[in-house]
Amino acid sequence: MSSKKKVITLRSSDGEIFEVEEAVALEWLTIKPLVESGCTDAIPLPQVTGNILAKVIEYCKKHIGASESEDRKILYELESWDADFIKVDQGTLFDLIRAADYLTIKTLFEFTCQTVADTIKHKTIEEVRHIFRESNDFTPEEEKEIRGKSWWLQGL
Amino acid sequence: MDRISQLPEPLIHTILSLLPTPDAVRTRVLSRSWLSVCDSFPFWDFKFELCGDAGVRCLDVAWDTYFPGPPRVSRGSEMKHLEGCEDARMGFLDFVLRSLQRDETCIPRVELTVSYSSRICPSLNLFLDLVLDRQVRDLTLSFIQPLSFLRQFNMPVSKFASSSLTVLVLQTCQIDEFVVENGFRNHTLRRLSLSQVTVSKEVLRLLFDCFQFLEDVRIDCTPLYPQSISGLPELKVLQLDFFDLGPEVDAPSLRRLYFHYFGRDEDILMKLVAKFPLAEDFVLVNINFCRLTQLRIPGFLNVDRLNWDGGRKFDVSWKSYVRYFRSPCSPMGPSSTNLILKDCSGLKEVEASECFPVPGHPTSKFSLLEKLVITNCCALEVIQISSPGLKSFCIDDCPNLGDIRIEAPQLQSLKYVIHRSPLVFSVDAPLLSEFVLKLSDKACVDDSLFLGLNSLLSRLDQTTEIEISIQANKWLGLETVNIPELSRRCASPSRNLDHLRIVAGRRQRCENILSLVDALLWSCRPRNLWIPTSSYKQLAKVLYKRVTGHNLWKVELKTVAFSSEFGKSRWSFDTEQDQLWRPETFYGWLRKFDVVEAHFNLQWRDTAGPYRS
Repeated sequence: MSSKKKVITLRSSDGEIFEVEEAVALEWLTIKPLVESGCTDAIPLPQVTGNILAKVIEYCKKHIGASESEDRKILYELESWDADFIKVDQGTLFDLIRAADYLTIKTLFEFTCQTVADTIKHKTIEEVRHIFRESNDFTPEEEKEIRGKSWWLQGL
Repeated sequence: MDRISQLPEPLIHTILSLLPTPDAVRTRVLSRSWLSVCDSFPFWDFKFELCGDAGVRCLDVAWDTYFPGPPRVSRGSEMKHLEGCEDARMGFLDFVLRSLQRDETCIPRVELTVSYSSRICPSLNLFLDLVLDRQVRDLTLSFIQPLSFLRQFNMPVSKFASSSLTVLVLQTCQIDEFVVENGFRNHTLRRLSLSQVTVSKEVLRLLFDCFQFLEDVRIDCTPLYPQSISGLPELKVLQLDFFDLGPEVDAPSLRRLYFHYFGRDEDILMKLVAKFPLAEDFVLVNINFCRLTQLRIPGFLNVDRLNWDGGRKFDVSWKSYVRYFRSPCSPMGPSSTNLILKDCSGLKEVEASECFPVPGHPTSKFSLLEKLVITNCCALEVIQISSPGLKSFCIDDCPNLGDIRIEAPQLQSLKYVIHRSPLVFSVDAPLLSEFVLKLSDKACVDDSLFLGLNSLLSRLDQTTEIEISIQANKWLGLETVNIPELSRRCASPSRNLDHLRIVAGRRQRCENILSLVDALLWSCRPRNLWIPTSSYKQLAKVLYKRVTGHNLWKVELKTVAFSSEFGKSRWSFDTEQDQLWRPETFYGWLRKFDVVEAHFNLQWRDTAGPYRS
């Protein structure tokens, strides 16, 4: 590995400055053109706060190169690292989804969306409401009507 | 933001698309804002699987979550369980049917996998009618049959003629007849795939007559060998498995042909290719020639994979298109094929066996070559490779090989099975990270191998970890390796190998095991030494004795620790102090803890020992 790695500077919405290796930044398709054009100024990311950006960088650093590895041990370790990484509160999780979408980081986007989908899967509506703190703002009549439209919902 | 319904709409749609359809639809009642997002999501991408255990599991979830009360899968005796499956399948299909009848939304895509039994037949016909009514575009139907001699589902293909299907995939069923009005043409179907479908040549011809705008056809229906495929002006991709004769293909737009050939016509390719006016774009994929003895390939062909089986003479001289070339061993006996590679500058992978790569064409010419596998080449005596792009190299079963020189700056994986010695072994590959060395039955290993290993390790990039597994059945021919003599000729390497794993067969006799252990310690200076205890137990004991007690290594080693594979138990001691453990204790430990893999951690002295200059 060469020691002269090119470093890209990023500025979060709250003005924090981050430095990442070029190889990491090139995975972020939104800023890829900027990086490739040899931009040396700090790239502003007005939609991402500093603490979220730090998480995103942490994830990408861990995953770069490792995801393609065929070594089962490495992949297994990565999986358990991911499981720890995603143990965050819901606000952070949703912010991560938005950041991954904004920066167009495919792996992180798929991983975070899948995490939310896995949470919803095989649960009753009441459980999902409880988990995501969604308040039921339907009247009982409305709810009955929506449920009645679809055969899956009967009996719930 | 901490509410899921506050996510932007496209992101919520992504999450919904990751859920099984029933789960996704159910979330509609979550809240008002969520409902409005759900209503803009195109739900009807149906996918259900109803077969075997998976089907039962899926149904359990389905009943418990979506349906009130019975029917339930009974879990009594095995017989009852099977009946339960059948009932549950029928019940679920009925549910699907009822819902299809009630609802009128379009369903673009339907994929159904179901175990077939005659009971289910009427429901399936109704199901097909219903989904066709709903303008399904992409239909996949596969059947799983417990016994192959049972009657298969007779697919009413005629129904599809007037449908708006664009993709039709059928698996394991039969097509008895195809009846449409004379001259009726379907304009929508683009892709047709039939695998394990019982269908006659006549019906197939009728199908092609009707579905004239097919672009992608796949037929994998032994023993059906359609002899001609014609009248499909738009056909671009054709995949024909298990062919006996070169088919008459009349398809002016064909770009891609998947094809297995078992005949003897040497000019088959020339004949085939001559038919296609668009030959410049022509791609042959996965061609398998079994009985040809000679093959000529026109230079303009673009070949992805070429399997060459049992031929005698092979002359590859394409321009630059071959990406993968394989010549497996001949079933006809030990005949060496002349493999002449020339002007294949685009060649990326070569797998050659039972052949004789003709010298004078150094691989350095093939600057893109990434993978090279040479097996079962009796005539090969020297391998000398200088390849800038080579990443993976495997040499096996070349009994007369005595000289290996590899210079490959990108080489990462090297697998080498030793059959004979004396051996000149020289590898210059600083990035090597995976190295498998296998000593075969007849291997006669001597000094030069360990000298080669030593020089290889001392040239490796400092950050590289390499692992050597030595698999030996019996080292009958292992000669005594004289460590002082080796050290006189070459210094023990200055850096340590991170991991060395030694694997040996369970019931082997190793006459010169001491020599092997010493030579490995000398040439690799491993920091971590792994020995699976399923292999030759004697090996673990010999190693233990060597590293703990023998004068040869006592001066070189600082501490020795050993542990079981999960760190369950661990002992370490200083070699300079009195020995705390006697071998018997170690053997007892091996037995007692049922260790899968014994792990020695060796700390070497930094100062020069007697075997380091």
